Amino acid sequence: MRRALLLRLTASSVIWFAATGCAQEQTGGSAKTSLVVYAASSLTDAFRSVKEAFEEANPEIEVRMTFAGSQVLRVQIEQGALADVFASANQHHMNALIEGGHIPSSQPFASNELVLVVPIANPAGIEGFEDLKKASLIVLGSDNAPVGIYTRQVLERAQLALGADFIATVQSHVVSLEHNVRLVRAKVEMGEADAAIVYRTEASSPRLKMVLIPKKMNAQVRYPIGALARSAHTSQARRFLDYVLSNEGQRILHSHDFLAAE
Amino acid sequence: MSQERLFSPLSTLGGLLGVALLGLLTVPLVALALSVSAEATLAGLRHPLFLPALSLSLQTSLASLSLTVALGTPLAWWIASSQSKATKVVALLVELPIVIPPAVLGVALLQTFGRQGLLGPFLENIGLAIPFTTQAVIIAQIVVSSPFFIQAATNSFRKVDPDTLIVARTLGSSSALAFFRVVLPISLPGLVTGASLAWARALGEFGATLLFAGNMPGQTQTMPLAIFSALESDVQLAVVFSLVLVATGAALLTCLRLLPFITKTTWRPLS
Amino acid sequence: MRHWHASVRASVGTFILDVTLKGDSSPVAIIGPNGSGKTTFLRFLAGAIAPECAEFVLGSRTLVSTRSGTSAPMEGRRIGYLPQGYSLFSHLNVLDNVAFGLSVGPGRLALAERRNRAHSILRDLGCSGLSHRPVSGLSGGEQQRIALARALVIEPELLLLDEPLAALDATTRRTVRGFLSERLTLFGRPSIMATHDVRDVVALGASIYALDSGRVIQAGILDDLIREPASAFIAEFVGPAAL
Repeated sequence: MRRALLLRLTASSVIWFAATGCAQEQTGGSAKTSLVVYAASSLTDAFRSVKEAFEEANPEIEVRMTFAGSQVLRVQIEQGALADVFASANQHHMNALIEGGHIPSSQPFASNELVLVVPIANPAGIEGFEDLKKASLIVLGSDNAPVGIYTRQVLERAQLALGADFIATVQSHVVSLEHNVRLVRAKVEMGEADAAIVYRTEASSPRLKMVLIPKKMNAQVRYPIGALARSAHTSQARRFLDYVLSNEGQRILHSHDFLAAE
Repeated sequence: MSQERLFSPLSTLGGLLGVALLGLLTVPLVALALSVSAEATLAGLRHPLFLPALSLSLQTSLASLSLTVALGTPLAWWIASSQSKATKVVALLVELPIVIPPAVLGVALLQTFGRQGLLGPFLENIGLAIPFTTQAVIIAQIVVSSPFFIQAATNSFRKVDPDTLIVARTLGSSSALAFFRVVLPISLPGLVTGASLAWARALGEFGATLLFAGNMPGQTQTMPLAIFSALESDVQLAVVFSLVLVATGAALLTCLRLLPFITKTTWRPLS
Repeated sequence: MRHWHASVRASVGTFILDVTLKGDSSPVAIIGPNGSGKTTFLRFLAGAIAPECAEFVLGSRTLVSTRSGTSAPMEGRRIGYLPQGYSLFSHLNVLDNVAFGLSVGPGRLALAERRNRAHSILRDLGCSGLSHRPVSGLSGGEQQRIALARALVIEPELLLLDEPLAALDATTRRTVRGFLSERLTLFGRPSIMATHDVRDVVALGASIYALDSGRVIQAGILDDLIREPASAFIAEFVGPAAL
């Protein structure tokens, strides 16, 4: 008796499991088209606003956003992720996808710059960029995260301006390399790091104090955007790209402190 | 009627489902091994991130396992043998980290031991800074892995017949001696299983380590963190690191399984 | 002549034990239904239960006295304990089981001496051939003898046996019963046996304490209990012997 019940239970679980798998395919046939956008983590707030405005103007399109370090998104796309649009925080990862045939072409849509951030209490007493050597716990972006790549450029330029000792001291105080700029920022917001280098657009948090990096040492942060070759929604993707590049889209980006594409 | 006939339809279905699950567990490992060439493997082993990460993983997991066993064994014994009502509460508290996402544990550890954390000012006074250090890696590993050991050890201790202890004591041994000479040897298989689980969990620990200890090659970048970093630049490299981690884990688990046999043959008090 | 007396009130969970027993070198049997407190009493004597109020004197030693705050540690009482199920150490072979008591405590002996004494007691009990066997393959009767050997080797002043024959089949029980009563006579020191079976009492010639719900409801020799059983259980218990 119990054996028969168990058999029925097991068989129906297996059937249910298989059925829901098939059912997923069919619900896509509802009125709205889904557009999947992969965007760099630094675009989180700005692109959420863009999504709202875009969906209002295009009610038949539903935008689904995934935010992560651009390097992570790039690898996912290389491995076949079903995204329609990719917005990167640097040209390097976009070029890799273009060379790999995943994205035919890209356009720059915004710029940014790097700044130093310290906790609001400023435990290391950093007032200017040269004070960075006073920080005993520095957090930076990892080697492949765009913010990490840009930071290395900044430090190379800083070496020319402030000397090898400055850079050596700074490097010896780096305690963690985070995978995206949001994680870098979080460590400073929590007060666990004395200082970090992030995008200017990340610095407006009430728990952070911003210290500017002199223009001659700063990096040129360029954000390109492109539609994927394998996208099944090319016209919708094109519409999204156009929106981002339009006056409306640019206005939204500026309201989040992004600069115009250079 | 043979036993096979008794369960026939169920055993066929059960067998198929079992094979499916086994496949899900083993085929990805095979796929991993097949996805990388010999040259890529050699290149990966020579990569500058490899040795520091492997060495760090082995050292920290060994340290966390030792501390887990040293501190967890008396705790498990207390939970198993005490009549106090507090044992139920403590047992629940010990199980809690298992159901909490590792990233959350990482944040919790920061909020405890970080500069702005609960113990921050106290630690600063005694000159200790824990986040971003190798010690932080060990602490994170202990938090996520010790519940497995403590649970297994507690279950093992519970199975020990209390009369056995009474006999050992009446024969003249103190509580401590009775524990080491009788309880521990009898419970050893369960303890070894628990230690294996804990070691495996510690070796694979990622989320709590990343948030609490950070990601710094040579200091805090264990193998799982190195794999994640490698994924960002070179998937083949990540695969090579992953295979090494799998092989290391398998070797460690095998060693632990052999331990009871080794102790049995070398420990013969009288005969 | 070794006299002993034990008076104890103790609670284990919701169960309350409140008994007074005494005896000398001849065996004493404790009878009673399940849950009457037999095992609890033996465990108290062994030292595993902390009483609210108790006094336990064995020979010239006061092992427990709540009035004067004395409680001898379990390892110092020199009491042999054979629990139900025998509880042999499963990780040790027969010889190591028997020699265990000689390898612990302040009086522990050297390896050679331990081995000799263990072999000697096993010989006495007719178990020489078992000395290197693991305990897992032993029959009930064999386990019983090993457990007895293990307890006797430390030369205890009191022997406690908790239903020593209950786990054995009828045939083995008869042989082991005879063997046990012989050894206890040879032992010559106080022994207390909890039992379900009147035949054990007959074989030992023991005086009896009957327990029920943690209290002594009758004490005396077998004839007393046959003549005037104080409860239905006792009447049923002595039944086979009354014939």
